[in-house]
Amino acid sequence: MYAGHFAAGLALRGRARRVPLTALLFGALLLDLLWILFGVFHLDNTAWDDWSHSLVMSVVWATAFAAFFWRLGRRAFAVAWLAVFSHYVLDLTVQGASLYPNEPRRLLIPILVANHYHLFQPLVCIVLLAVFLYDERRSFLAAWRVWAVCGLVLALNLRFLLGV
Amino acid sequence: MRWHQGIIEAAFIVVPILAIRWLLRDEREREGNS
Repeated sequence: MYAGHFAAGLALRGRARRVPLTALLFGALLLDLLWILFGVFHLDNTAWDDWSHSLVMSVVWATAFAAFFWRLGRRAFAVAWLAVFSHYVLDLTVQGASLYPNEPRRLLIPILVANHYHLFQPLVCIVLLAVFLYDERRSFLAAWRVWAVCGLVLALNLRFLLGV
Repeated sequence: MRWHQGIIEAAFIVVPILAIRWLLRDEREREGNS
């Protein structure tokens, strides 16, 4: 999953306006940023990127990230936590996932959507962007900006479709 | 992962976030400050 994470961050925007949108987007992509960091410094040699993407570590990273927003209230904490954890859920659908670092292979959670995943990912984006559009219907923002963001996120699916 | 691969992967994350941030920037603040 790639574009779906951006859509998840946008869908969460309306749930807690006190959390900056940039923070929600970085939160939604945090596990991938950690994956890059661990990959570049050769810190994660597990088969399924367990130190960034396993269930247990996702909860750890989500809690650590959300802690920065605790002073904004419990709602902000919960939304920031969800932004990070949504990454695990979305990846689980099309990539499968591990539960904890270095777990035995037999415990790996298999891919949930193995067929038609090329259609599934844009569909997930559309559903999440619909939430974003609904939340922004009374926004002061010009409509074209909101629609441009939706177009951009949908266009990001091309990366996956083109295999880049 | 090599350094250049890491930078490319990071760009695929950071650039769209900056683009979204730019598109949804709060014009009211700028008008208020001017």
